[in-house]
Amino acid sequence: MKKIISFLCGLFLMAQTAFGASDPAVEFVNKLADDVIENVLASPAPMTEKLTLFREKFQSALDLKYIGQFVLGVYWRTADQAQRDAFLKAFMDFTTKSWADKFNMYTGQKIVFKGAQNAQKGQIFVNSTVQNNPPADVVWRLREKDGQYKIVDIIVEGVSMAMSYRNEYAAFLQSNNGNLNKLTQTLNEKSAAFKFSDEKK
Amino acid sequence: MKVKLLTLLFLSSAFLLSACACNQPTEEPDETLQTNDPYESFNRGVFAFNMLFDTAVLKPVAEGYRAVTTPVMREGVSNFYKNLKETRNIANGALQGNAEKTGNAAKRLLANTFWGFFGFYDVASDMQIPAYDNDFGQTLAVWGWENSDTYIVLPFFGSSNPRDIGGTIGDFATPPGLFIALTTPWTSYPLSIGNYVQQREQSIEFIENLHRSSTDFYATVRTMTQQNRQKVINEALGKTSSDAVSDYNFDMDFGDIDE
Repeated sequence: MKKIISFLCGLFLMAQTAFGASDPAVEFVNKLADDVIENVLASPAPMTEKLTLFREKFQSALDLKYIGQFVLGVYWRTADQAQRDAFLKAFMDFTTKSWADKFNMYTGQKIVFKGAQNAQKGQIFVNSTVQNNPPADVVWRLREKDGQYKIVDIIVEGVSMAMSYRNEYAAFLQSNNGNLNKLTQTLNEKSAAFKFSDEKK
Repeated sequence: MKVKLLTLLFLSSAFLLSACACNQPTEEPDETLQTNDPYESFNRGVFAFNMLFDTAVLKPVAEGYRAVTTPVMREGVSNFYKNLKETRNIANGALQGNAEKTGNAAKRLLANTFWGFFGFYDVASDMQIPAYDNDFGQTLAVWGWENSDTYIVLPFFGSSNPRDIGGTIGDFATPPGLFIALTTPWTSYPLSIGNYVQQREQSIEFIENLHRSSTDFYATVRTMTQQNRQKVINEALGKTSSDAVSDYNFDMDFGDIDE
């Protein structure tokens, strides 16, 4: 009898760990982070090559169209199709470069994953800590699209990327009479101004 | 008894009704845009002054500091200031009645002061003693002033709100601010300015990236500092991570998404 109980307990524990280890959302972000760190950030390849790789991985992992619509908020609804397309194109290019610029500060920190939680509308939060000094909490918000996970927000130390862009663009549009074309144009100018060099800071 | 019960029922139903009203979707649901900035034009003025000061004085001095020091030296200086701040962590941990935070801060202070050469080396972290960044603003939140989100930009100190202005004043009246103020000006000024400069040095790249990435720098700094402070306050209030997550659980769907 004892043996059976301990066997059952063991089975239960195994199932638990197996479930914990294979949480598909955590797995997705973990794999992505390992891939980007190993093949882009820590890679000795020249900057132009790394930038192309980063663009590819960043744009397939993030749902930038979805984020782009969210960050425009009410202005998305009033924009016509041409304006929407132009903004999304500018926003995708700009965020990719801006985050490549951010990740350029990476100096070998490790990421520890702490599991997943449910968000509204079937979305998922994946919790992690970047082992910096001091450590930084990073939450990844995922959405399932065609059976695949896409990142729709990255929350670093309580600061949500999507919410920050949305606040910033609302402020920009308010002071520019809601002129979306002006925002798109400014994003394109900002994108063009990013400079990436092989010089290590 | 009957009257009391009725009053109670009435009050609770009123409470429920008001709670319902809060959850009702408004005409234009935009919970993410609650910046609460009634003094925006004044704040933008102070912000512009701070930026000017940063460009003309603080950033060049921080870059000069970086030019004449090595990373190891800078880490030592940063550790030294963090160690001084453990006295603030002890004071606020105690004021909050939090034995764990007070104890850990005291352990860190002792370990780093005696074995870490006056705090220049962080032996406490090697000993796995957890570090917190406590301040009087967090204490005020624990004492009941939980919500204070009216945005105010202070000269030199930057983003704040009514509670955290109280916090900043409180930080001057508690250690290490108090100790530093009680020393001679020959000690207090270099110590305070040194801290300002070494902190600025640590964020040179980060702030440059923010400048490059922002279309309205004031709005970017406003939302980022508000969100970050909310997280710190949530943690001080002992809200679990699932509570923190519910803070980011805003609706991202518009229902008319182009795929």
